[in-house]
Amino acid sequence: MLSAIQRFVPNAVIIALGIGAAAMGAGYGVLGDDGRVGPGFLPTVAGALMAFFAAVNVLTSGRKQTPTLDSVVEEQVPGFHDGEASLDPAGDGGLDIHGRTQRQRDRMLWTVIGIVLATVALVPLLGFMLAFAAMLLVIAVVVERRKIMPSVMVSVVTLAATYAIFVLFLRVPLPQGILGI
Amino acid sequence: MLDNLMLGFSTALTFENLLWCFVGVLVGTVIGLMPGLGSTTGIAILIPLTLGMEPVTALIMLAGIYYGAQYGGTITSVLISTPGEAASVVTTLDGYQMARQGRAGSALAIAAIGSFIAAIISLALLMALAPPFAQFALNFGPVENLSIMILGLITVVSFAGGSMSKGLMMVTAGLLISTVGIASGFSQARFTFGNVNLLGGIPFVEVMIGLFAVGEVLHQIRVGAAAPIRARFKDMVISRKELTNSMPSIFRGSFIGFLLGCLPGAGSTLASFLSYGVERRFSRNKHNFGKGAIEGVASPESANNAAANANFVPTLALGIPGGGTTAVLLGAFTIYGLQPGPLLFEQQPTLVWGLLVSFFIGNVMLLVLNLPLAPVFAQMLRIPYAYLYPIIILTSLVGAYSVSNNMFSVWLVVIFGLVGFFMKELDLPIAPLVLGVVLGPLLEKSLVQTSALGQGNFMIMFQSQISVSILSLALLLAVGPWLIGRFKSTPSDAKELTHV
Amino acid sequence: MTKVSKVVGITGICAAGLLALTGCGASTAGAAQGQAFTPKGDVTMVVPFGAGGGSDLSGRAIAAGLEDIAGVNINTENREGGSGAVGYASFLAQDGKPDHLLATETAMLALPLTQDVPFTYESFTPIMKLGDDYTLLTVSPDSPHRTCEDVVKAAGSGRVVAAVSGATSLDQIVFTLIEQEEGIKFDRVPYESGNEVVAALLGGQVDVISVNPGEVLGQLEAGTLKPLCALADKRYELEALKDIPTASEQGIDVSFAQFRGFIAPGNITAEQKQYWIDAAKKFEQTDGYKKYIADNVLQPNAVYGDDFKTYLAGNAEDLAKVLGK
Repeated sequence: MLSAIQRFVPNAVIIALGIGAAAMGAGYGVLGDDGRVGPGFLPTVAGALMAFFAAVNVLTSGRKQTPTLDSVVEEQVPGFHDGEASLDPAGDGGLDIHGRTQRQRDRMLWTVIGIVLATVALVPLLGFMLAFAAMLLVIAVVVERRKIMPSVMVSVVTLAATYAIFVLFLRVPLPQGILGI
Repeated sequence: MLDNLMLGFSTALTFENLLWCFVGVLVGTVIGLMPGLGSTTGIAILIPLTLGMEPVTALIMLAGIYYGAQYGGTITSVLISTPGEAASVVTTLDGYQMARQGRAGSALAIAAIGSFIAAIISLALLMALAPPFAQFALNFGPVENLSIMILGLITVVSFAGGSMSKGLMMVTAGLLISTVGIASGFSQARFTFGNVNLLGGIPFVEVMIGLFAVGEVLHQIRVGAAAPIRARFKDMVISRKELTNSMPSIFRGSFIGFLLGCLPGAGSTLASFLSYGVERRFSRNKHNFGKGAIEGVASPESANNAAANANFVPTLALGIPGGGTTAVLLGAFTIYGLQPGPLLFEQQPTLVWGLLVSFFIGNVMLLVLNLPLAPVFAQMLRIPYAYLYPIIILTSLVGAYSVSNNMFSVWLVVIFGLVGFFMKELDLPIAPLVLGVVLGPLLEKSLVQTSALGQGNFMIMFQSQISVSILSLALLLAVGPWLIGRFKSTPSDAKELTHV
Repeated sequence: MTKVSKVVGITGICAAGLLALTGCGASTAGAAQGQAFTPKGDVTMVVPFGAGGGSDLSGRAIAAGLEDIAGVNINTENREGGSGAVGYASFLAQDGKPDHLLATETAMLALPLTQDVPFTYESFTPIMKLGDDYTLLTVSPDSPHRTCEDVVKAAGSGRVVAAVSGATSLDQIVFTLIEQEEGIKFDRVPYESGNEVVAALLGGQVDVISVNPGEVLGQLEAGTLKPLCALADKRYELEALKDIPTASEQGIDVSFAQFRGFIAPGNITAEQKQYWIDAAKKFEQTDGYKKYIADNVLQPNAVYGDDFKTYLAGNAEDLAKVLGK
C-alpha cells in the first residue's frame, strides 16, 4: 500500500501546478468585453479545479482506501498485476519469470528510460534509423541479456519493416544524421 | 431508393472497384496498426497515389482505408494497449484486460462483429435519412455543442473506477494541457514559454501514444515480465454466450454513435466514450467493466464505427465535413474535380451511391478478413516481451514523428510516456486525461462562441430546446444510477454504489 | 588480432563510402556558387498547415507541377501547429538550402504582427505568388439583406453577428476593413475553419459570413447561400460568380485578398533563386496551374521574385493597420 507520504507528494505537486496554471491563466484575461469568455478562462478554471480535486483526493484517500480499478482487477485475477510486489519496500519481493528481483527490474526500468532519452537525443547526430537500430540492439543485448544473433535478427527485421512502411510506402522523411543516413 | 441501391451495387461491384476496396481495407488496417497513424494521416498521405484513378474508385479506396485504419487501431488497443486514434482509447480499458486474460481473440472478434453490425445499421440510416439528418444537425450551434461537451465530461464519472476525485482531477489536467498554444478565436499564446513548437499546442496524438504505449511498456518493465500469454484455441473463438450478451450493447452503441457522428465536429471519440459510459451505468454486466467485460469492447467499437459512417451525413448531404478524416476526403473531392455540396446526391448519383454501397462491401470484407485473422493477430502476444517492447517503443516514436514531421513530437511522446508511467504507479486513471485533452479545444471553442452569441450571458443555453434536452440527459446520466439504486436496493446495487 | 583488423577494415570502408556519399551531397549544394543551379535529389515542399486544407491543396499542386519541370521528386511535408507558426519557424532551419520550398499564404505576414515568432517575410526568399483568393460577403437566402450596403446599415443601427474563421484569418481582416471604412461594428463569433463558418450560417447561428468562393461553390449552385458582394477589385470571370457585384460597386471601398504562393529559405544564392523563379514561370503555363486556379476559384495574378517581395511589403503594411497591436 502507498504510504501517506507517497500519497501526499504527487497530490501536492498537482495542487501547486494547478494553482500556478490558474494564476498564469488569469494573466491572459479571464473575461473580456461585457463578460465574454477570454483566452484565460479555461486555463484558470481548469487549473483551479485540478488543484481543488487534488485537495479532495488527499483528504478522502487518507480517510478510507477506496477500491481502485487496478486493485479490483488484482482481486479478480490473482497475479494479474504485480502491483503489490512493485510497491514492496524491501524491494526484493515478486520474482518474475526470469527470476529477477524488484530491485533488478527497477534498474532495468531506469536503464531503458535512459536509453530512450539518449536515442532521441542522438537522432540529429546519427539519423533516425541508425539511432533506433542502436536502441533496439542495446535493449535486447545489454538490458534483456538476449543472445547476439537473435537480437540482431529481430532488430534488422524490425528496422526493415519500419523502413518499408514509413519511408518507402508512406514517404515519411525521417531525419538524417551527419552521415547522411 | 431501390433504383439508387441498384445503381450503387452495379458501380461498386465492378472488379476494379472491388479490388481497390480490398486494397484500401488492407492498407488501412496496416496504417491503423501503426501507433499515431490514423485514417486522417493515412488518407492524406495516400491521396496523391489515387490521382490517376476514376474518382469513384479513388474514393472507394480511400473510404476503405478509413474503415481499415479504425479496425487496425482496435487491434493494437486490445493487444498492446496502444490506441491508434482517440476513438479507440476506450477500447483499451476492457480490450487490453481481455487480452491479458488470454481472450484477445474474443475481443477482436466482437470488435469486428460490432463494427459490422454498426456499419449496417448506420448505412441503412444514412441511405434513408441523410438529408433530413443533415438539416437537423445544422441546428447544433455553439450552444448545443457546449451542452454535448458537458454531457461528454459527465461520462468521466463512469471511468473514475474507485475514486471520483481522481477521475475529475485527471480530466481537468487534460483540459489544462489542451489550453497550451494559441487560444481558439484569439491571438493570445498561452503556456508556451517562448517555444515556437508549443504555439501549436500539445496534440492529443502524442499525449495518447505516450501515456498508453510508452507508459504501459515502462510499467510492464517495472512489474516484471509475465509469461507470454498462451491462449487456448477455445478462448480464441468467440462463444455464443459472449455474442448474445454483447448484442444489446452493440445496438445501443450503434445508435449513440450514429447520432453523435451526424454532428459536424463532435465526432467518434465522444461517441465511444459516451456509449461506454452508458453501458457501464446500465449494462447487466456492469460489475465487470474495466476488468475485461466483452460489452466494454462491443459498445465503443460499434459506436465509433457508426459515428465514422454518420460523419458522411453532413459531408455528402451538405458538403461540410463531419470530422477530420471526412475533411481530408472533401479535399480529395475537389482534387478529382467534384463539387461537394447539397446537390451532390442529385448531380453525382453514381458516385454517391457507389460510395455508399462500397462502405457496405468494405465492411463485409473487413469482417471476412478479420474474423479468421483475429486469433492470428492474437498470436503476436506470444512474442517474448523482451523483443516486443523495444519494437513498441520504436513504432510509437516513428509513428509520432510521421504525423508531424517534427522531432518535437517524439520528445512529447517520451515525456508523456514518463507521465503515463508515474500515473500508473500512482493509480491515476489515464482515459479521463485523454478525454480532457481531446475535448478541451472543442469545449473552449463552444464556450467562447456561446458567450459571444449570448453577449456574455450563458442563459442562452436554456433557450434552446435541444440544449435543454441534452443537459437533462447529462443530469440523468449523472444521478440516474443513484436514483435507481434508491428505488430497488438489491445487495449487488448497494455494492456498486460504494464504487461510484 | 586478425579479427580486430578485419573489423577496422570494414568500418574504414564504410566510412569511406559514407564520406563519398555525403561529399556528393555537399558538392550539389556548393556547385550553385557561380554556376547554373539544378536541384539534385529530393526536394521538400513544406506545408505549414494540416492535410486537406487550402495550403495543403496549393502546396501539393505546386509540388506536382514543379516535379515535372525540375525533373526531381518533390515530397510534401505537413508541419502544422500554431496557425502556421510551427511550419514557418521550422523553415528558418533550412536557411541557405535550395532544396526546400514552402507553400505560403497570409499567415506569413499576420503571424509576426500578432505573435512572438522568430521570423518575418524578410527571413525567406519569395519565389512566386500564384494568385489571389478574395472573399464573398454572404448571407442565408431568407435574410432580409439584399446588398452589402444593407448589411452595413444594419450593423450601424443594431446587432449583426458575423462568424469569422480565426483571429488573424482573411475574413477577420475583411470585416475589420469594412468596420474601419464605414465606422460600424460587427459582433464577431470566432470559429476555426471556413467549413465551420458556412455551417454556422446555414444553421442560422450567425447573420453574415465572408468566405472564399472555392469553399461554397456547391452551396451557391444549390441556392442555400446568398452572396451579396465580392470584396475584390474586379468581378469574377467564372460563369457562376460573374453576376456578383464588387463591394465598391455598392459603395464600400474594401478589397482584400489572401495570396497563395511559395517561398524558398533565406540566404540562397541568386542562381538558386533564379532557377526556382524560372521553374515557377514554366509552371504558370501548365494545365496543372490552370486547373488549380479554376478548382479553387482564385484570381490568377502571378507575381515572381522581387515583385512578389514588393507585394508582400505593401500587404504587410495594410495588415499592420488591421492587426497591429
